[in-house]
Amino acid sequence: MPRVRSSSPALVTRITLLLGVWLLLGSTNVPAASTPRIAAANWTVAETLVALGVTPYAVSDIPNYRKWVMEPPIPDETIDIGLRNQPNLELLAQDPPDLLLTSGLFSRDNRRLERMMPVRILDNFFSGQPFYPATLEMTREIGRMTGHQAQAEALIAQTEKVLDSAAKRLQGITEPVYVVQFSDAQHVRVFGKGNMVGTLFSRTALKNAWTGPLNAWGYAAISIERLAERPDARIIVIKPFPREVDSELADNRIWQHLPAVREGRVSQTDPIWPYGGLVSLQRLAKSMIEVIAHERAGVNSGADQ
Amino acid sequence: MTRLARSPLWLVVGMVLVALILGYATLQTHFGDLAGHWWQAIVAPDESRIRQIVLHYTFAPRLIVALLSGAALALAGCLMQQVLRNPLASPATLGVTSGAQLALVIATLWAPGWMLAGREWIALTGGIAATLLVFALSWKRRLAPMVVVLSGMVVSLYVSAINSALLLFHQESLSGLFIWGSGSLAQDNWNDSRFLLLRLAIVMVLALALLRPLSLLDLEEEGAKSLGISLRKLRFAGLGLGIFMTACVVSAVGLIGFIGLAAPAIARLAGARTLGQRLGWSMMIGALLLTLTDLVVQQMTPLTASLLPTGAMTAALGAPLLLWLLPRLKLGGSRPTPSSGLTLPRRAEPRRRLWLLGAIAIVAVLLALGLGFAVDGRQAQLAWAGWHDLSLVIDWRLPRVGTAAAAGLMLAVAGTLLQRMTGNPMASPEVLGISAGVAIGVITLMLLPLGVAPLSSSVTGFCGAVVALLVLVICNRRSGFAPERLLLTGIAISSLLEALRAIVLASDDPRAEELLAWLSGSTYYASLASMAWVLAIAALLFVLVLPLQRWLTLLPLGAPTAKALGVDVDRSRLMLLGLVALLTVAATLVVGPLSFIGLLAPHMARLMGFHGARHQLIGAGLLGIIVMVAADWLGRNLFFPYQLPAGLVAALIGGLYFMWGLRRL
Repeated sequence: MPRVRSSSPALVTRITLLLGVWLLLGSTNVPAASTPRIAAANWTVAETLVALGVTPYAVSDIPNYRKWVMEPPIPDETIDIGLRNQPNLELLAQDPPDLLLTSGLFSRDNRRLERMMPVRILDNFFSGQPFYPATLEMTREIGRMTGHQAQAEALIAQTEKVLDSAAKRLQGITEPVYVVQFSDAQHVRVFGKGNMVGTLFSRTALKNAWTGPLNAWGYAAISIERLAERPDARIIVIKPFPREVDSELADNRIWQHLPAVREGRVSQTDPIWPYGGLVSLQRLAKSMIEVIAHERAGVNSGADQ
Repeated sequence: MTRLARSPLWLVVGMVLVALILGYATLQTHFGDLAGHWWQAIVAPDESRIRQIVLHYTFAPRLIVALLSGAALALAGCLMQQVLRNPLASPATLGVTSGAQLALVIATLWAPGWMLAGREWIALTGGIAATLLVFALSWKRRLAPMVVVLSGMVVSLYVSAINSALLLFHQESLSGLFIWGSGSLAQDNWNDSRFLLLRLAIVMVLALALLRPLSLLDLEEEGAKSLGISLRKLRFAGLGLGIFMTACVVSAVGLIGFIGLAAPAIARLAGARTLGQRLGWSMMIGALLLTLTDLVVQQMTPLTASLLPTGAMTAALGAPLLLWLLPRLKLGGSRPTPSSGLTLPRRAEPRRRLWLLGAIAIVAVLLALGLGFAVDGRQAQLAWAGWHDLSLVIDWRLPRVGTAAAAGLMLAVAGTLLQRMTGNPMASPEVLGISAGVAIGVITLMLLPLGVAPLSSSVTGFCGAVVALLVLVICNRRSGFAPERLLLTGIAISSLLEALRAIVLASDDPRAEELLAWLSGSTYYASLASMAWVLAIAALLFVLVLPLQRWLTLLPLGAPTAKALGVDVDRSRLMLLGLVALLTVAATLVVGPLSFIGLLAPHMARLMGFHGARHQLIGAGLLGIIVMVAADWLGRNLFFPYQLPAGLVAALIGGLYFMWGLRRL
């Protein structure tokens, strides 16, 4: 196991652990050796695994995944291992997967986890690379690890195709775009460089209307009046709406008066995980094409500022 | 001439000037493009110009809401202070604001339909419930000012612990609640302004009608009674108005800390005398205080990618203000009564009881190690660990159980030391804000680079603990460490941590989740090695403390007696405080700042009849181990595979005990 850092727990525990593993392996029937059983603490990795046709053994916080990431759906056989930043150790230890994939954000002490199974930090953020190349590399790596290289390359090729067609379909669009997700009725996260929204902006002719500061995940938390700073902008809202936001927006005078809202340049996407992988990226790109290119003809004539 | 010099007029004029300058600056930075049209945009915006709309629906109502909320909270604070004859009463210190907030959070999560029916009524229910709880807790001490405020702040902290537990399970969807919970004044229409204006006007009229009878409360109680006033009805009406006003503000803009305390206090210090004067001036000062804070926040907003919540900012400013006010206020009814705990009958054989406790502790540890969820395919159920689970138990349960036990032991010992040193049955590292000091130190470090480095966080944590201890000593030396004052100082430090936490959580930074998890005190990251360290430290400190029993026996008799019996009081106190700091840092880094174990364990030990210093130390230590191990087990298994942090569970258990203890303080 070259990739796995060896840890040095007390000899006794190591022996007991080996004993335990041996006993466990003795009692459970080992599944087919072809695809390793993988647990994913990170939703982005979970998404990619499912997209490559691998059924993850375990994923963190599945109810919230269904709400925030949505696609692709986690198979029913996959078990829940609790909160993303604290996968349940007792559960993992009793029937350890062959590999745990986690994110640098969620794990601060992987040496312990490595005693029950190999652990890898696999992340498309904080890798030192821009978002898109990092995500490609993450996808390829997941493909290599699971023996699904072909599927990974196919997913990448498919994503490239989606991005190319997005570039084609979104050509000549002059109005800038805010891509936002609501925190409450007065505040949004507005996305920019450093995540998949930034990738779309760099791969297509679309221009980001938000040019202010961004945090390490490529978004800024702002109050919605700042969406008026570019009156000509279009607004794309990534769902889900937290709590009652959609009904509160009806009373929100600023929202109702934003040029984009008045002139019908606001569109909503299905829930998309903006920090996700290629599937989320494709879904975002397709939504953008659908909502922008679709209404383009009608809007171009009506917009004047 | 002299009357003019003693009136708050100049202060208010100065604040108005600063507000005007800041307001102009804010308009200039945010709406510079509209220069010349500002007034027109506020009054009658050109509907086709979005910039004017934005000014009309954000800046202007936000200013009005800040003014109204500040005035409303000051009015509420003034009424509460007058009714309770307590200069420290306020919506925040009575627990009204946090009670209202919890009610709204619960309604949002489980009964969103009710929110449409009227948020202020839900908030009012929560506020009244919290107030009733506070009164129930301080009833026995005839609502003595310090005890009321102490109970109120404890209820606040407890409620926010419940809030944290809820938030842990709704991380992604509650980021909006974080923002609202920390008091963001952002507006998008005039609804809140109208809402607050109407209610403030009604409450003001009612308050004016009550002005004469209420101001008679300044007389001694007998005097007021002889004038033929039904004191009970009057108090009920005054307090009810204050709580209603607070509930309205909370439901409109969330938690705004300490304006209700600060504004009346400043008005009084600046020379407002009669109730009428105090009401008028403190409403103006409150309005201006909140507005000034909000304008500063608005000035800072464009500089960052995160949100700055105004309410949490005022709370962060309010905690130091409370610390500053404490030594300056003359408070009646704070003479300590002899603690009831000391008059309990002595048990004949504490030794046998200690053995019994030890046995229980061992059983608790064994249960916590052995009993857990067993996975069978996709199912998991509670089961005993068999021999083949040995590695599971040793590798994954033992570190957490051991760490929890060590932390419980250390907190219990630290609490015993503090209670014996101060002669105060309610003292403990959590209650005195020493744990909060550790946490503030660690947060400060965490916000600088990414992630938590264990070594450096223990260093900054230690610095935090030392600073907290210094603040405690400085604020209380003059009063001779009067028990309630000491506790109040500690709780004020804890509320500063609360404000800091709200600011970090509202910043909408993904790291906030990690911080929330750490602050809630999880044993999740314990490993065999770290457990060995923590256990070794705990054992070492425990061994160091045991021989100090002579000091611990003599110090509660009072400094002169102890001195006469040959104890170097200053040196012994310094050493004991040093030990308390070390114990607290080590324990807080593991189980977070709010577990109440340090309070609960020594207290219970004394109730069980361990009066000798040595017996109390050992008994409290064992109890600390038992409670903490139980809390950790509950946290791990209650919502399997999701886990609650041990510190949070312990706080939910220990907080109840603390409130119960307050009742008999």
